Amino acid sequence: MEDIVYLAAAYAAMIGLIGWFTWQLLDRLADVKARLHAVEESLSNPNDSEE
Amino acid sequence: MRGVLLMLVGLGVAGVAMVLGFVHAPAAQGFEPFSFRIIFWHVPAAWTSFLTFGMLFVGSLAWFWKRSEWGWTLSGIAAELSLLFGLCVVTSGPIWGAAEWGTPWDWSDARLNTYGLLSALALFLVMARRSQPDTPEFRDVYAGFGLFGFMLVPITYMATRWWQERHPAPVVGGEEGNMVDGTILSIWLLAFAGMVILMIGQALVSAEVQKCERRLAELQQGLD
Repeated sequence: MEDIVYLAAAYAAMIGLIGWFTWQLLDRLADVKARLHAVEESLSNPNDSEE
Repeated sequence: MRGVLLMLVGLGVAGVAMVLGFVHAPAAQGFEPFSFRIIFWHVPAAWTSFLTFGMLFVGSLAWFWKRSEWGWTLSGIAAELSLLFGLCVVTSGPIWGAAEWGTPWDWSDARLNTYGLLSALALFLVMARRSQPDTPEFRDVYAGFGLFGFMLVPITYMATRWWQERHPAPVVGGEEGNMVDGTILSIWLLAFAGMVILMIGQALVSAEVQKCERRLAELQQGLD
């Protein structure tokens, strides 16, 4: 295999790993914030949650 | 948000270092012309992982010693970051090994094996934390492995001095006549700065996730 292909593969792997990790971190943050907001909303409007 | 901004800045700085490594760094004598440029992220990622294993040690120790909640949080953040930077090292290293040595891994090389063990430990900690119930006993076992992991760091670092087989000998703080070129060292330090900024940004976002999860758990407990 061409030497430059190894170089491209290594950087693609590292960029992919960092990108995936960062994306799933931001996704988890958005998800937990949405759930927290929903619970706080239902607690501040107890009548709505009983309906 | 501060964490996201730091991540963007860190990625930008590391990206500039990568480009400088391609276009500005001199060729290294005795190495393949292109694939050796993997080192411009491979080495700083390894240095950054040593920092994150240090954070894991501090967090684990704080849990053991003081039963500190922030120590427990820090150890969780550090394990994830150690896994990320460890994976960057153990994927890029074997790719370079395949180009340079004709084999991706050498089971007789202490540096490769101790670093592989470190990364496997980080994977174990991340998986255990996500799959096991959060009890004081689990935290003790987790922190024990965290402390053990950090003990591997100096062994891994010194492995190329004590038992050098295939992995190149140290070129920073190594022997006379085996020192790295000044331009390469500058680019390494730039990439390292970028990765540390990125890592701090990721740690801040991860801390925010854990804070929200704790608050959510408290509210749900209150509802139950």
